[in-house]
Amino acid sequence: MSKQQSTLRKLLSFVQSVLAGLVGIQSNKKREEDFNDGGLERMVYVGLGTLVLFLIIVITAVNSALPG
Amino acid sequence: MFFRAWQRLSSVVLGLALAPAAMADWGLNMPQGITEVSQSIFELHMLIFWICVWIGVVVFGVMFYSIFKHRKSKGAVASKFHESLGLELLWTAVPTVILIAMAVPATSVLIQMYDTTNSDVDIKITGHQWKWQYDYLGEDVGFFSNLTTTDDEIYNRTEKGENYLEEVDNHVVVPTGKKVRFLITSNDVIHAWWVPEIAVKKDAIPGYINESWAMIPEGQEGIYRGKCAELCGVQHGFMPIVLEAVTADEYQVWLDDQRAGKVAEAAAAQGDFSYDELMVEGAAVYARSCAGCHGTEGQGMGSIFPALAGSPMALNDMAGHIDIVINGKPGSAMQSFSAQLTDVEIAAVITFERNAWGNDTGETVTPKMIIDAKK
Ligand code: HEC
Ligand SMILES: [Cu+2]
Repeated sequence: MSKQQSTLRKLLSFVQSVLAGLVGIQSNKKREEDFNDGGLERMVYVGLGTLVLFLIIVITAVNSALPG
Repeated sequence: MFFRAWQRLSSVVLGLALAPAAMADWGLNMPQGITEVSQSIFELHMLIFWICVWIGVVVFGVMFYSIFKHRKSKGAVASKFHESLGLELLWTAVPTVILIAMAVPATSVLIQMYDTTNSDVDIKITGHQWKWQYDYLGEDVGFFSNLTTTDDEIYNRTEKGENYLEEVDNHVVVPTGKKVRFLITSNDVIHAWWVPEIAVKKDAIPGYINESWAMIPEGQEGIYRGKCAELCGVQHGFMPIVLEAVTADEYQVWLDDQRAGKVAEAAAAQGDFSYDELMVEGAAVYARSCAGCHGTEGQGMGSIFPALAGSPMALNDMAGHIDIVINGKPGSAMQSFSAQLTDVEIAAVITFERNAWGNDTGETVTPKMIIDAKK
């Protein structure tokens, strides 16, 4: 496995954890992994990014629903 | 026995499912109303209602089935497990999809309801304790709408009329086929202007203007009744709404009549009135506009509403008496009557109060004195 690939996998794993946090469903194994592997800082960045994305979706949805 | 009961129950449930119109006939459901918006609201309400019914049927169905099928007497043993990713995803995804499916029609009805732009007629509605005031913006027409149900009906001294507590002296008249915008506010406490048939129910809040609108379709001319829908004091139940929908042509005629009436009133106030004329008129005005607070015999009510019989002001202070009726007393329930009553009516009611119930001052207050006092 190349180094690049494993970083990508790590990022995807963070995204999955944040999305899981959003809906409140996560497997026990994955949760324990997240807590043991550290990487709090990166997790916070991914979380903030998701928040921005969420706001953009809400604003776009409201704007598209309103007439004019 | 059990089977028969079950059959009957299921036929009732089926009947409900197939006949929403029949439910409306029972008077259990909300009215469908006469406007496009009220129809949309009704349909949305039925849609959401049936979604909820079916969710209930499925959830309780599964629950009761499980309780019955896996009962202890059959030797069922509870499975003890923690975490089920698939199940958790399912019970999160299903409600999400249902909620979004409900949000789409709900949002489109809301947007329709809140679109007050491009109105043809604008009516400012002001709530007062306890009557509604209507001003037709840009038309120079405005009036108060007072309850006309008599005390005798209210206190069971006579038979109650057909429109008991739902009749007023001045109807709020609107044209059909036109978009009418309502600008709703209050002069004192919070009221709410509610006419179910046009699906308008808006709080009237002092210092704020809430907007709503209705377009009554042509062919639906008629009288539609409503009520104040926010508890606003002792006579909350005595400030009804009577909306009269007329054709656009009749509406124009009505507007002209209103304006002509105002001119005639102003001219009349310049005329001469005898003591007797003013006393007769004054008694009627008093019963309509003052007795609710000051008592039918001028005896007052509790410690808040002063008696006028024997009141020093009614006996000795004519200027003060005229002033308090024209301008009201800020901070008290005694409001200004200068916009609600004509000059003739104000003169008449003051004359009446200064001579009724043993207040025998013998004084006459004329409409001209009111005109002068207003200057
Ligand atoms: C909503 C209740 C209400 C209504 C309706 C009302 N009043 Fe009053 N009125 C009051 C209150 C409360 C006071 C006492 C104000 C104060 O001094 O604080 C008052 C005071 C008065 C006084 C002064 C009495 C005194 O001895 O000081 C007069 C005169 C009077 N009202 C006349 C009228 C007339 C005429 C009408 C009808 C056109 C009328 N009121 C309708 C509530 C009402
Ligand atoms: Cu009210």
